[in-house]
Amino acid sequence: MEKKYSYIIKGTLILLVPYFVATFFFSLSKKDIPKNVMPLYIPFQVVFYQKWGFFKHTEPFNYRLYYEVSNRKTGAFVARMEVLQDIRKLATREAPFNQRYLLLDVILGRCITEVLNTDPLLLENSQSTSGLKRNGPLRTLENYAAIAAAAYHIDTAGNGCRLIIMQENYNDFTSRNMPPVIKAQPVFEGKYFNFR
Amino acid sequence: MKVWRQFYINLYTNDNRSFYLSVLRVGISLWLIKEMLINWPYLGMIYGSDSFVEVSNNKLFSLARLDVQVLREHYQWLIGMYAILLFFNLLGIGRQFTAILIFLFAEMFFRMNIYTGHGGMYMCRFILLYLSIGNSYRYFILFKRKQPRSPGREQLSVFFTNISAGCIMLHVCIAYFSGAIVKMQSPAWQQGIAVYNIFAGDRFNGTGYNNQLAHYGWLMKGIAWYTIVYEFAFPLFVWVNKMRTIMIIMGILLHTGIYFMMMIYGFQEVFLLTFGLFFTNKEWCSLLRKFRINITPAAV
Repeated sequence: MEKKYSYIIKGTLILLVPYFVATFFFSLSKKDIPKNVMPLYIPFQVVFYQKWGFFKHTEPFNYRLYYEVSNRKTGAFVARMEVLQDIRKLATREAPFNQRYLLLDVILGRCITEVLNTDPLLLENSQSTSGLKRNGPLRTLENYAAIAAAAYHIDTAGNGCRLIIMQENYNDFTSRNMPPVIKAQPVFEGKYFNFR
Repeated sequence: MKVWRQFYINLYTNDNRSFYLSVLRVGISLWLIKEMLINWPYLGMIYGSDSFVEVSNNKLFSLARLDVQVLREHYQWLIGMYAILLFFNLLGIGRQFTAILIFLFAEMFFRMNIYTGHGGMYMCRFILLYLSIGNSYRYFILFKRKQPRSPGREQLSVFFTNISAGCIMLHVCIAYFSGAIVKMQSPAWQQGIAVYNIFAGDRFNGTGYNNQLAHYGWLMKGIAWYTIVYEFAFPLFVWVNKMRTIMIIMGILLHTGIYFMMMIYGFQEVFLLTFGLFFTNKEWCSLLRKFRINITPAAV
């Protein structure tokens, strides 16, 4: 074999070793990654983003996304709509031809998780500066309000809205055969905003 | 030492995986076309600038001096170019050049909406990257090479084809193994609670009767342990000839189960597509011969 080709082959093999070592370590949980390689974690994930520990944490509850609509001038209650449960019911009913509902579910679901994992002060800031320091996931949920209102035939003119995220606990594993007890509690309550 | 030497020589002399690598190129191209078609009515929602989804610039876009808002304003053009490239890749037109462009496009679309990315897309991006270095154009192509390569370049082509296949197989193994480590450390997985939480919730209710199945504790524990054992065993035993078919069958069962029970489609389809790579050209030849199908490489 010609020398130049031999160098290419050896060079490629030498490059692949650290690449796969890094791929292995950086696909583990953060706490399992050796501390001395941690500074390389962010640059590696920026370029080769990947995450394989699916369903690492699963919890015995469903999130519910409520939009509470009220009159902007009088503050009178107009309607309350929950969107996530209906989307998921439709996703199950229409499977496997349910791409629209799967997309909506994954977008809203991930935004809810992001909002709940964000510092409440940052969220407060995002809501009060009217777009200056916007929180993407929160704005996405707020933007969806107009689509939800149209779907539920709720008039948006003259009305404002706020979103409430509820955590609806169902029976945990140990009490799985007991009569179903559903406990709901709000985990996030936003400020009123105008429909966009 | 002799074993390593032989392994090294085999890397550039024995073309072992080019048949399935070509199948994978066609398969991944068709999968991406399918993903585009099922998302077609919702592309505006996913990538459009008028969408309710708010996306900010990510670090890679900033490094490449790309503005996500500008890309979202012109998403229809980008989708059009991507569709043409996928069609080219399906037929092997433009070869590695098309493959690398598709990788860049897939990477760009993946980062244009961070919410809709899924495990299938994570793996698909890496498959596209690895396919762009190997020769997946020995089968199922529209135009043959006019002139044969020099012996040295042919050896280099065989080497990169083997490396490309090896990288995909290794990446699949790493994905399983890191998943297994995460699950093994979680008491909720060991006791079946994690699977119960998935089945009793409404997010992954693929059948409508998942909630009823969640009442069977033994079933939840069984599914959890099947997943953990499989994810640990696959990266270790798929390389052992006698165990390989068992591992592949276990994988097919797991992935089809998730597909129908949990409505997670893309991830299962991509992983199932990669399984064929664990069989060599020779094994594929003898299997297809049983169905009276003879495969011959179209290009040298």
